[in-house]
Amino acid sequence: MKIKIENLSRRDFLKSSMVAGTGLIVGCSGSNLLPLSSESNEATDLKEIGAWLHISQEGVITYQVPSSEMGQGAMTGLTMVVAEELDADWTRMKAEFAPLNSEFNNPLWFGQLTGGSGSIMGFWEPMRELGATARAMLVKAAAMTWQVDESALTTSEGYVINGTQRLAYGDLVGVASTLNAPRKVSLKTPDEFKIIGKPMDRLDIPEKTNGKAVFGIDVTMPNLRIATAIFSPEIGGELESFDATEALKIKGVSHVIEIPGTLVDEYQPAGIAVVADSYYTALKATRAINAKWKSGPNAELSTEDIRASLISELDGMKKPDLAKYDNTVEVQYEVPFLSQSPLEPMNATAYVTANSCEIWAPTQAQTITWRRARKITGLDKDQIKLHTTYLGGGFGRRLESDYVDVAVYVSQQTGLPIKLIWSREQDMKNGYFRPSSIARFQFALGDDGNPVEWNSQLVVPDFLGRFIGDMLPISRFLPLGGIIRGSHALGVSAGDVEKEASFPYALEEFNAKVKTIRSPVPTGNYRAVAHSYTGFFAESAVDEAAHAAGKNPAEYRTQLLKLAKANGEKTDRPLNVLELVMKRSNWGSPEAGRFQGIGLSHANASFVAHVAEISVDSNKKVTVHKITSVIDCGIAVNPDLVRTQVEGSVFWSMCDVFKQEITISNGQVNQNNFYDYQTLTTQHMPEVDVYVVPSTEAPGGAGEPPIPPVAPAITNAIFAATGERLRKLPISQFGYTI
Amino acid sequence: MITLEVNNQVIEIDVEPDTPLLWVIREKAGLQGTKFGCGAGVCGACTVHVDGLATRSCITPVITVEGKSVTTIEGLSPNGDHPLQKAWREEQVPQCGYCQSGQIMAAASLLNQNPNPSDEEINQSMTNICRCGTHQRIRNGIKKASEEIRKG
Repeated sequence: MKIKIENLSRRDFLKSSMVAGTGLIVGCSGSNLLPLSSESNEATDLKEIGAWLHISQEGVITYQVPSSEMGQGAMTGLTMVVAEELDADWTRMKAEFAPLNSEFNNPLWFGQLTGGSGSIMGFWEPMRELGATARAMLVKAAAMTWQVDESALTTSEGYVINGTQRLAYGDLVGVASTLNAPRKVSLKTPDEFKIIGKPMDRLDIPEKTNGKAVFGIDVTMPNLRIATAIFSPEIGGELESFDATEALKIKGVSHVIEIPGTLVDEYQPAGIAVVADSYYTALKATRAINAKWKSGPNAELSTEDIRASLISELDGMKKPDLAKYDNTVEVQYEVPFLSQSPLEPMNATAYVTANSCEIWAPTQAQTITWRRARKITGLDKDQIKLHTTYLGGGFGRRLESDYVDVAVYVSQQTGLPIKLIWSREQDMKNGYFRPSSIARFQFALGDDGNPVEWNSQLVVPDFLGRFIGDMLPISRFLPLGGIIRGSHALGVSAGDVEKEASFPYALEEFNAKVKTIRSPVPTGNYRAVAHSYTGFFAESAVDEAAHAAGKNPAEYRTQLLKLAKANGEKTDRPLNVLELVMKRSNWGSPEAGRFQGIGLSHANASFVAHVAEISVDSNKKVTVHKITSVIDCGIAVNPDLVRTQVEGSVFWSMCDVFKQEITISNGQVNQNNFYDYQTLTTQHMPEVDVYVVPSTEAPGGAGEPPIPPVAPAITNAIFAATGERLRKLPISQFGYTI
Repeated sequence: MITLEVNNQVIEIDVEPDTPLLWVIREKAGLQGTKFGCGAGVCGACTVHVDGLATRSCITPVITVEGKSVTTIEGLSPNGDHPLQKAWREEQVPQCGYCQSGQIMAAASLLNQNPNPSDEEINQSMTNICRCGTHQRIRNGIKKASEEIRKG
């Protein structure tokens, strides 16, 4: 059966065109954007004006991927969605990264931005319509060619079929391009999917195994100069003076440029950039600069100070009186600042002239980058071009555009094309860190052990106001404060304002209060954003409740979910993942000497449960033997890609649990590089067994939802093994190693 | 002038002798598959082979490899069909992919010395950083390539 799609606003905008015999173009343009008589001979020019899809006479289908590819697989997943509705030959699909153009905005974010696990969620419907529209036009073209009724025709793997006759899509583009795009198209039902739901090979993997993939750091062009920069070691410090005499004597060094602080946003440090003919020359020259930095308001700042302000805020928040209850628990949980530290250091290439600015960047945030480049250059919006490369990891760090700003600024100052590469040390120290946060819980259990009252207060440095303001300038006129606080309370990211609770348990009295403080330390997005800590807090607290109730922690959770269901809450999906993970992990019967812990989450419209199976030796050395994971992310466009995101999330969170922490003393970030901000390596990677729940629900996210339950599953397992409840991360501070 | 061999081609370059091999490979030889990650020899994104042995090129002054033979990801196999590269595609190892040139070169060096490594030997030898968490697939990829190499 076909679903009829009507009255969708984008439908009215789907247009198509034939450009001088080059094939069929389908775009989602507004007014007169698609030239009918251009002499352009390639789709590459058309994509600049917002054309999504080009089908050549040879049958090659080139799709402009609107999301950044940072490892999460959006490039492959979105291409699969288009190819599905187009009934394309998968081997003829070619994916390119869309240029800067509001046509490619993610409907979830009102801009070109890759985050919030929102690529498939945001583009699911428009990309299906795009593929279905192109298909409908090709079918109509075939019907005209054969002089038959369209309803007699079917499509499969790049052909329109009429009984024993068939026509390749490439042979139909001439006729199809003379047609108007249909105003209504039918979309497939899930049982008709041939590509969606299959573990197709990633499109980007071949060139990621032979060194040919082009990341931001690999951008090159004639006359390109290489720059690097140093910044005030103290957060918010200023540049007092510098002497570049010796630096400029170094062969190959051409410019030393002062970078003013707060270039665009209030957190950007003052610095100095060196322009040279090679990275190493530029780096050496930065060491030859005699820079004097001036202390600012943060000269004495330390992480202890920030912790004290969080505690002080918490102390000022109203606590419930639980005196009337017999069985109560009051606990406090904490997480530190963290650095995203994607492996590709911050870098960007920019070429600014009097009337143009062209940028090549590994960015998650094209719209923000563009807006900030306009502020720096004063150029008109159409004078700025932005090309997105592969990203060597993002994890939220590349939602910030500070590093692109500096490349743009240095190019503007020198008039040269500039590739700016930060050293790892500058990258580590000049971040927008995952904020530290502290939460307190006070809950009371009834005679049956179930919570009768559940209270929590959470304090966290806020960055969402700054970030959303960057994304959507109009937002400053909206009552965002409430949304931001509400978002934190629920553990959701800024875009998810649909009250998606990460705490699905049945609770008679649930009072979650959140307070944000202004942080002197720059804070920003991180993989799973607020869920990265609220998951640890809430799922640890539920475990404490189970213990206080004398119940098995997994059964306690299912019992609460069943109660919620009886109260009319929609808990079927979390209940299902919980029961599946218990079964698949052999819950309650770990191997001898091993202990289990469990965690559940609801984030980015998906549900995930993990069971960690661990052992701990007498020296507190932990071995994570296995993580059993169940994810329900609705329709999994590519189940193997979903599995990779769960595997990666497990590893990512284990680094946070066991090792990572950013600390500040005397206003300076103490960590320098991966030798003192350590990650785990291959030897620590447990077996991760992932089950993807089959579903016909709309797709949810995959890159972040598996994060929140990892840490509590592990620390709950350590509690099971040792009786020691770990309420702060990383757990190295309690003597645990891995 | 410093002379070295990169992927079986002799190159002569005019650089300061302390320049790390990484930047000679990337900026002078134009081979950009080898990546810059930490500049401190910790993350391994810059791993290449020097006379067949895995070497972290970001902390290797070019003068120390004068006259030696350097192999980068581009030179590992003629058509990207080294058993490890094939296994990496079959196991769908890379995510962001930034560390993977280094991972493959580290794994190739391991298999050169030990064609049949145990899990423990893989764990101890593969110390390159991957932020995406592809390690389970890296282990599987190495085992798959090891089987193919041993079959001949």
